Amino acid sequence: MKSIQYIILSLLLVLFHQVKAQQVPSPEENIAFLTTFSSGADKQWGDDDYVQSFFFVVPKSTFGAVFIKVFDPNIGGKHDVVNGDGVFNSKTKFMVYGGGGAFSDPDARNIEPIGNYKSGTLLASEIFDNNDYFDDTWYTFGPFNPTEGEFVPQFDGYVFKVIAQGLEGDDGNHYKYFLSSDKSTNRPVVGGNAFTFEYTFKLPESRGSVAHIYPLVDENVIAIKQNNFDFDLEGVIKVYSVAKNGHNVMLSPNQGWENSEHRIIAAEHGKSLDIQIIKSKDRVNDMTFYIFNQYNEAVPFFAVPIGGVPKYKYNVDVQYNYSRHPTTIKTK
Amino acid sequence: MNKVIAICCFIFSATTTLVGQQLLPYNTADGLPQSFVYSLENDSLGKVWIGTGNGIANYNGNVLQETAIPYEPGNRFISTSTLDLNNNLWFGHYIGNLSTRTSLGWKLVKGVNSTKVISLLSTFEGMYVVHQNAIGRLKNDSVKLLFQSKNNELQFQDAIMFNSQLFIASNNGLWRYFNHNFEQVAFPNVNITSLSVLNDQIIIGLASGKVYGWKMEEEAKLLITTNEYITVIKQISNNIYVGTKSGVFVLTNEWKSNGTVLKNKYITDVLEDVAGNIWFSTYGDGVFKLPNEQFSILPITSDVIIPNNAKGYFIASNNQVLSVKWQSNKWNYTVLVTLPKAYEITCLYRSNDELIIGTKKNGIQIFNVISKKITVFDYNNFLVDKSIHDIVIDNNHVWWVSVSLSGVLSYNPETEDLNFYDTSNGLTHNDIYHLQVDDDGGIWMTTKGSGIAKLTNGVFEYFSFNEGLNDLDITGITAGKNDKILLSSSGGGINLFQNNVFYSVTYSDGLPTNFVQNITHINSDMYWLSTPSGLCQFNVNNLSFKTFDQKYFPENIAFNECNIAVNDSGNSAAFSTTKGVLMYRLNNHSSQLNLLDLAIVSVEANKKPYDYKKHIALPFKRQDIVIITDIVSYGQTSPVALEYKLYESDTTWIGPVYQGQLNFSGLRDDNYQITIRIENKPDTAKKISLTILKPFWKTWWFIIISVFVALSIIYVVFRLRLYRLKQYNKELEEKVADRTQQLSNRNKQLEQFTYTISHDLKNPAINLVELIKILSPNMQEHSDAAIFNMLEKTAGNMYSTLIELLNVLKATQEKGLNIEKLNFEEIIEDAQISIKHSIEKCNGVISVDIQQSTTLFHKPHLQSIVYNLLSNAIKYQRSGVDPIINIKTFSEGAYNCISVSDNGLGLDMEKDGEKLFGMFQRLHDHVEGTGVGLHLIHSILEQAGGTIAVESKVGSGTTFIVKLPKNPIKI
Repeated sequence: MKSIQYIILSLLLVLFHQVKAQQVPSPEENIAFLTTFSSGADKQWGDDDYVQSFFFVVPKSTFGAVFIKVFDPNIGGKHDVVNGDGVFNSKTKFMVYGGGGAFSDPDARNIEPIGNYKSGTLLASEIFDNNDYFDDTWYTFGPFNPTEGEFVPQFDGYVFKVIAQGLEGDDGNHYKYFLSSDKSTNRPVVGGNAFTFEYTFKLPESRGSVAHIYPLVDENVIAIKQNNFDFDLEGVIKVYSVAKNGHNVMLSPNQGWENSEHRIIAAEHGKSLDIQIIKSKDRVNDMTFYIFNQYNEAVPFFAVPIGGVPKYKYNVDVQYNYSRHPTTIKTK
Repeated sequence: MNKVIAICCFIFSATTTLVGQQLLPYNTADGLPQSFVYSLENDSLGKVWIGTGNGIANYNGNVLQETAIPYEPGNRFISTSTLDLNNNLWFGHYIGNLSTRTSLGWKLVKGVNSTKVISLLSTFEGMYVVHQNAIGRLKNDSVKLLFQSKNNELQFQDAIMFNSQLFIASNNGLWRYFNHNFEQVAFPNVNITSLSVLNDQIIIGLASGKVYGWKMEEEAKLLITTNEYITVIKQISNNIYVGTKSGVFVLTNEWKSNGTVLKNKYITDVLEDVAGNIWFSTYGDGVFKLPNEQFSILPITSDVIIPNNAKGYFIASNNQVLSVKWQSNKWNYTVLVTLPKAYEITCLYRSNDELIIGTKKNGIQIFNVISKKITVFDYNNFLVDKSIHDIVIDNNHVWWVSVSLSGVLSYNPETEDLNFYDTSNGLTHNDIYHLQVDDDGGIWMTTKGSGIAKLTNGVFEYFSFNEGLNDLDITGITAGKNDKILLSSSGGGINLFQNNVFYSVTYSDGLPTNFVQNITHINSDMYWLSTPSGLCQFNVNNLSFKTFDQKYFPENIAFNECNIAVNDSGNSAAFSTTKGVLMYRLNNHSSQLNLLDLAIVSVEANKKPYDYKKHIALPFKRQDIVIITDIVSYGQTSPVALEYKLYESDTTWIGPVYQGQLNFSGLRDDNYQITIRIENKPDTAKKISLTILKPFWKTWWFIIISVFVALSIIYVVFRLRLYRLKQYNKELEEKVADRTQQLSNRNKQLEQFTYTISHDLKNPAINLVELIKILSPNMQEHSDAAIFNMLEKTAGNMYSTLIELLNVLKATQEKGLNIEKLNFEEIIEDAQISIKHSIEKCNGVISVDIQQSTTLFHKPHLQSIVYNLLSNAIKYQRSGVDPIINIKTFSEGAYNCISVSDNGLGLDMEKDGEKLFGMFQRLHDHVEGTGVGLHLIHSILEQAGGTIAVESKVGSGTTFIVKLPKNPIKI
């Protein structure tokens, strides 16, 4: 049964992402930046643990080198959040891991950065401070041999892990990733994708804007428990899927967690959910999101939704009542 | 050691390239599994093993090919490799395991964790396995953890053994593991990426691009600064190769720049193979081979090249002669002599200090390389306007000059004798191109299309098709060792002349083409050949060819009537081409260019691997034996054949086999010593000891078991039949008993019946007798008195008969008889008394002879026996003869006997013997009797286990001999 799931997942990965860019956050998500605050920052800024792990999938058929690029890796300048005395005094360390355990180690998939979450073979690392040289531009890790990732049969590909860790200081780093097959330009890796188990990101600033995150629910999921942190109650969060037409989720206050459970039906298996975060205020807000299944296992968020962006399928019953109305359409 | 002092610092750019270095690339199209290569290693056979991120390839001197490994993607990633002290090749894997190829196939060993193995270092104490964050040691197929970096903060990047200590490069300085201690020894907080050992010091390459030399207990010295991330440092021959993420810096052993190669390539490893080739592995660009043999082009238009004594060449170009020499790692040339501009040099010959120069129209110019003076040789202007094709000088210092369309002239400088040879005096063709002196002083003269002439001591020989030459268009000639002459031709390949016989070497022998443009002897059995598409080294001994195609040359080259010159003991050569003079140079003179060897890779039987290093014993049925060999043929481009034999004693080899895999099936049960070798190469022989076990039906245990089983079956059958016989017997006995019982019952019934009749009739009979007795006195007077007497007599007989019958029945039915010791004499006397009246009446005489006085018997029965015998003896007396009766008792064996003899009537034994003892049998009617007496005796004796015998003769009397058992049967 597991092998069938792997095959289906692999096929989905290949079929729906042949030419999509592996930018994180992806354009489909409408999320401004990934966020990692330094360890001295207050959690009210939206980062619960100052560490963010992202995983990049490179299909087994990839032969050439791949590069993992970070946009605006420094912590200072144009896009980042300064705290305290208004001077950037922080550092962020980016680490690229591959090899055995990079993904398969359970700690690597834990939402908390504890235990052996830096599992695997360290391929590259770099510490960035407020050096302007890396402001508003791309920094490239690599080249990497695709096989230096950890081979994960369920993806039929190699997985690299990138950990962004906020070191000293109290400022916030906003950045983006790109999985590229070219060193100097952002050229997507055919069939590549990216995912995380806990997502800390900067929401779009404008009122009414909608950010999307796309958790994938597999065959074993019968219920999910969404957890959001520091949303500041500034809008609504709804769940859409082929079977959900905007289920409301519980909203977290400033520096607090909130969660709610949602049932998953068979029609949603093997597909992505579309969690829409709709802002009601014009302000900067960073928040953290993760989802557990009924076994308290973290559900991955894919940058590019597996199976495409889910659309609610209306279930239409047609009833005939000749006496009062020619046709009544009842929707469920 | 905290302080680092930079003593020496060279900074140079990576923009120059080594002169004349032609790197040959190998990538996925050439057999590499992946373009990301992490390790290079030589094995004990001279193969180069190439570890990539997705498998292994090897290069055997000719071709690069992927090696099949039975691993899943994770373990297909080779991160490092080494050859251990037992010459086993080990590979470290990216996911922490390590593996080796054993005689039983690939063996995978689990590392201490799943991080990349960065180094494997074989020592006498086991093999150190250095992971990215841990150190282990391999012993007995398991890796024991020696050190683990806490929180993975320390990242190991390279390791070496130095002074029996393990040194490890890390992202935080240099560390040492020694005596169970792990300590930082130098370069704290410095990212060290590469280690090497050169000249008794540790060479330390940094991520920053600096390279330090460190002798323990001394301060480190900065050797060079490259500004590039150092990945590998190797010393090979006279050069040090510093690999970086942007190319290779080549330095002298004094750390002086010698150029760069592979600029902008991410170098991961550097290796020199057994042939002296230098290999560079890259990250993403495959591997590159810097051949030990280098070709370079001199931009000189020339068709005339000869070797110079001083390891260089003379090259004629138009009207100039250039001197070419190898200097400063490149070929340099200078103009040696310039002839008048109109002169066109056609050939050269070096003779001591003189360079003899043939021209197209201006005769022969002689240049003295010492005095630099030129003199002209001509004979009465004979050579003017004639083109000199070739010049040679024989062992007698006689010049031989071939002149276009004018035959050959010879000139002896000492005697100044001059001779002309043309069609007028024996030469068959006047347009001679090439001249060659052989070991015997013979002068070979070749033509284009008319065969060859050979002049020896003034006598011409001619060689054409009839003499075995396969092509008359000779393009080149050279003399080899052992009086060989080799000729190249435009369509017949190579003709080899030896011992007055021509042999041809053509395409079918592996020659790349039959169009050979020229041939020149190198050394030993080696020759250079030129063909339209390239060059070829030819070994005349084993007919092997090593080709050099355009890939080896700096640019695309055509060889047009290529002139070849060889110098430097064959380690250099020059070739005339359309693009200039192509110079060849073998850089490392000590390398082996013709390594041939064979290894056994695996032995399988029915797809199960067996250790070929040990004796293999296979069941008779396991017959699909596959022996996979590995052929190393460094420098051999022609196919290498194997041959084999099954037994040590075999004198003939089976082969050739042009494949590395040998399959055997259907071998009969026997002991084999399979020997495999490269054809005609005894030193490459490898042996496999193999026994095909006897089939089970030939084994002693099977024979014993079979005999045992057969005997068991026979025994079982016998027992079964015996059992059945017993069963039959038992059934028979039961039937007999049943029948006997039936008969006995019937007999009893009859006896009962008889007894009943006898008993029931006894009383009426006695009544009848008594009634007759009562009537008898009254009937004496009656007229029917006779009838009455007869009636009385009959009644009496009937009564007597009934009494006798009752006695018989009584005798036969009595059970539990009392056996007692009886005195014969008393018994006989009682019987005599009983019949005393009858004895006296007939004057009978009875004599008794008692030899056995007693016997055991039932008394009434013995009395009855004696009585009946005496009674019969009296009854059956002869008329008129007084009876004489002899009674005798005696012992005979198990019997006590009593015999009764008389002199009476006697019996006809033949006639009556059988019915003598029957009931109511009366053999003499004239005597009264019931016929029961003898039957009664017989019955008594039968019951008691005794016998009765009769001897009698009619008219002579009868003797009855009764045998009484000394132990009578009790009933």
